[in-house]
Amino acid sequence: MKLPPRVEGHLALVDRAVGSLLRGWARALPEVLVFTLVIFLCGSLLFTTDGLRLLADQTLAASPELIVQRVIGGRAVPIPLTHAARLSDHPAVRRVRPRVWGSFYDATRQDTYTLMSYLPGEGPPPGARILEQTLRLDALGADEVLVGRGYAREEGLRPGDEVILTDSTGRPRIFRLAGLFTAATDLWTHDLVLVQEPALRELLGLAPGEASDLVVDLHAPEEQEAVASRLAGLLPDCRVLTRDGLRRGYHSAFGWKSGAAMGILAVLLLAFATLVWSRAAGPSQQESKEIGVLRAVGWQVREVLLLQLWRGTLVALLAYALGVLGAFLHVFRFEAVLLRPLLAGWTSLYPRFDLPPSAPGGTLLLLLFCSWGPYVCALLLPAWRTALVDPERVLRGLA
Amino acid sequence: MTLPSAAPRTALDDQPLLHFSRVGKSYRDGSREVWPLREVSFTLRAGEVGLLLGPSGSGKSTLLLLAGGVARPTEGEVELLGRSLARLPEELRTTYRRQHVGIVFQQFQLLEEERVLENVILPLLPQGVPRRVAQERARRILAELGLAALTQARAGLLSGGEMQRVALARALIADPALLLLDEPTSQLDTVTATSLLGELARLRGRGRGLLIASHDPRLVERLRPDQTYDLRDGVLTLLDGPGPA
Amino acid sequence: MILDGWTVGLTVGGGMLLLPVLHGSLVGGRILRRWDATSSDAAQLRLERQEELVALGLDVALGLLLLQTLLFVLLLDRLADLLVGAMCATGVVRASSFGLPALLAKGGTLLALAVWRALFRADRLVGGFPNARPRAKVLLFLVLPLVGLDFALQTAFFFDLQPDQVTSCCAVAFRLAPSKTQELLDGLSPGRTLGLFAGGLALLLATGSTARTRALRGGPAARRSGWLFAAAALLFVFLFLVAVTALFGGYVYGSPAHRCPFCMLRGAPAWLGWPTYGLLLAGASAAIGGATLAQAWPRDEEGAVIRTLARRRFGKALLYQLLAAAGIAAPALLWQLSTGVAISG
Repeated sequence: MKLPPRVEGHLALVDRAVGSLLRGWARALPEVLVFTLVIFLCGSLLFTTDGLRLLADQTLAASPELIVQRVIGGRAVPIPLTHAARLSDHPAVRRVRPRVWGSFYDATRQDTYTLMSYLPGEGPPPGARILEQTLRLDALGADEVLVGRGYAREEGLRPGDEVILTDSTGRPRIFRLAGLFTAATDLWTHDLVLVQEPALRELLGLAPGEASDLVVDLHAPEEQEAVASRLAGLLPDCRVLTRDGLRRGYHSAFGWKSGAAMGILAVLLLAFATLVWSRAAGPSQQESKEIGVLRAVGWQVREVLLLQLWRGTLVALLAYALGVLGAFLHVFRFEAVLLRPLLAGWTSLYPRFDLPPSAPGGTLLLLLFCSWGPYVCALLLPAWRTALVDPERVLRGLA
Repeated sequence: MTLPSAAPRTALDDQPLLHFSRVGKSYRDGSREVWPLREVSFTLRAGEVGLLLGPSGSGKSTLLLLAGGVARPTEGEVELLGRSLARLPEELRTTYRRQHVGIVFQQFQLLEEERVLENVILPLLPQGVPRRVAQERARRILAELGLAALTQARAGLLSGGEMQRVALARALIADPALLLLDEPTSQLDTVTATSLLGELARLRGRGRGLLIASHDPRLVERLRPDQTYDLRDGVLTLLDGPGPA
Repeated sequence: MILDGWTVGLTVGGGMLLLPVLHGSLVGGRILRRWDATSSDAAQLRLERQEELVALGLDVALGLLLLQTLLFVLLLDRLADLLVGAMCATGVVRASSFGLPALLAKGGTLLALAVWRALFRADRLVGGFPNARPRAKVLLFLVLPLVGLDFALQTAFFFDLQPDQVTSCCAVAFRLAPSKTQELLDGLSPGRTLGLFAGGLALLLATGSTARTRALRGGPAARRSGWLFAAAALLFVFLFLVAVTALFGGYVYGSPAHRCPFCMLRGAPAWLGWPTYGLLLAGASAAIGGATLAQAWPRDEEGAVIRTLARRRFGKALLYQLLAAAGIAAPALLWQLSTGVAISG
């Protein structure tokens, strides 16, 4: 195959760069290792936030457009079902469903768990698998419960085991564990205990004419912000949460954490750049000789500089590939074990990072941008000494 | 892909290949100014051999570096193929050098970590000559110089004579019009020197100009230079030949 | 302020992009003071060698800038999740008064670099940096301020944005019905839009072919028509965007009310935004590069090489922008062909 001379020229430079890196691999090794580590950490962070966002989106996709809570004195209180009737009359509203749910505090484990009842019509999106066992949500027995994996692990529960919950008067009630939620729904089901509504009302002490909150489906989901403000006007004692608002909340929470962590990494990166800088601060005698010889046999300054640039780019790309691969395995295979202390913290159970594996092109490009860029810039600036090597002095042995 | 070659020979026959006119070169050595060359003038045509005699340190290497455009003269004019090198910016001097000049340095200046073949193809690499073509060419030249068996050897492990021939192969790979050789036979035994001189004679027969710095009397016998100069303390004296044009 | 991995990454990378430009400007300052092509002293030799490093650094900077622009657009789209009412990048850009200027600064920096690169290309062809001084001026007074401005605006934009901030989506910004509020592009009828677009195209063709013809002759006429063409190419970029938001967008998305210039960057239909905007910008920078070449050929003897290069740039510029125009107008034309209803109606 015949390539244009420019491409051939670059190929020859790459070839030389590879050769010299292989010959001097021991010198390049520390740089590759440190750089790989930095990319590994940045990549782990970005992949984790991407994974969390994806998880949030997947789970929110099945959740209602609006949630209406009654708030008195800043505290959420049960909402009368008459409110539901008033909302149903609004033309933008397609359907209103009361929900029964609450949380309870386990004094022995010092953990808070969420109790919920199954809401007819509120199911997983078609095809999504939210339960580990094959059973129908609406066919749950009156004394059967489903729990999230976090709760099951903390309590050491398996399907078929007894689950003991205390009701609002302090009496223990015994249920049977029918099944577990899947890892894909972890973000929302991790600490969840799903109970049938009558039993749950007893556990929570909720009167028949009341619900914990109302979920509202709309005819036009994209109008949810506008409808939300109108419904809030209709019911002055209530606040209306939107699905988009929840998504924003989650995204910005993930984003904020990863941003703060990236800031720390940026400092690391600069420290690394300084290291490269000091290493590359001037060509060694051997490098000087190589440059002098190349210049004497007819290489231009720019060709010698390009050779340096290629050398740096190869180091950067190698470290990039290793770092990205490592980060991918770290986050999606080993549950981001090194980042957990940093990103953890919505409930004491969370997180177990069983994130859906994904590596969006944009994130890969961003990693390339903030890794290759600083590395090559840090490498280029000291290269001015290389540019200044005078072949005549080298050949006379003066350099 | 055509290999970069010297300008058409026919046009060169009458035009001077290399012309020095009152060339001087000075260095700063601390506060003192040193002049290794002063007022040097001569002309070399295609197919001619110029021989520079003189003790070491007399400025022969400096003169060769000036002729190859590696160094810039402090005063005077160096013309290669009718173009003034002194006034050219470094980039163009380099371009001219790689198109028209091959240099065999006194210390050979090989990259000792690398293999013979890699060393020889160095001048062609940035010019976009495909590596296969360059290597093919290098093998041929190395074979002509009796180094066919050593193409994969590390340059640093060769004997002095072998290094010298590798350096010559590198100088020849771009098919230059002018060949500059600094003490080309200093490391060679009689047999190898004879074969190298035969090779140089062949090159001259093909119209290349050769400027050789040496104090080896075998050169005078074998090559019968067109011009012989003596360089002493930076001053060039014509011993034998037509003299400066 | 929106702090996340992306904004921090873009800020760090953007800061790095400043370094080669700063280095080039330092060398540029020295060149303006000391450059003397006739001298062969050590100082001049140093400057010549440093020029090579500056050139390589700016190549790297250009690569980073292109990558940064791409990432910035992707980020705008990503941030739409965080702002109330933003469905795509349009809402995010409108959420801060720094949004649009930041985008424009990136485009401006790309074009400024095109000027520098055209001059450097000429130097490369002729050898020996005859344009060292003009290039140093372009770098110091055009590229450096723009790169700095770009970085400042981008950072200000990230600081200015607030999560949960209320903004409007593209459907509001580019809505069809004339409104009393200061929405964009009020009262631009399809017919008038088409007229403007066609006029821009005609101007582009006329100035482009004149510039191409005159380029080989050289002289003041060639310089004038070069800059005229560059101006026409820039004007066409503007008219192109107006036409997208006032007319062509609706046909691209197959929905008359949807005419956002950003949505075609985020997938369907066929990611049409990337090739068309890419060609449009490449065309504009080729036109500016050509005009620069036509302006600054160094010496008469080598002028022919550069004149040929300028001519080729003009040809490329014309081709790229025409392709971009064809790409964006194609859905509308296909619609007219298949339905027989005039789009100008």
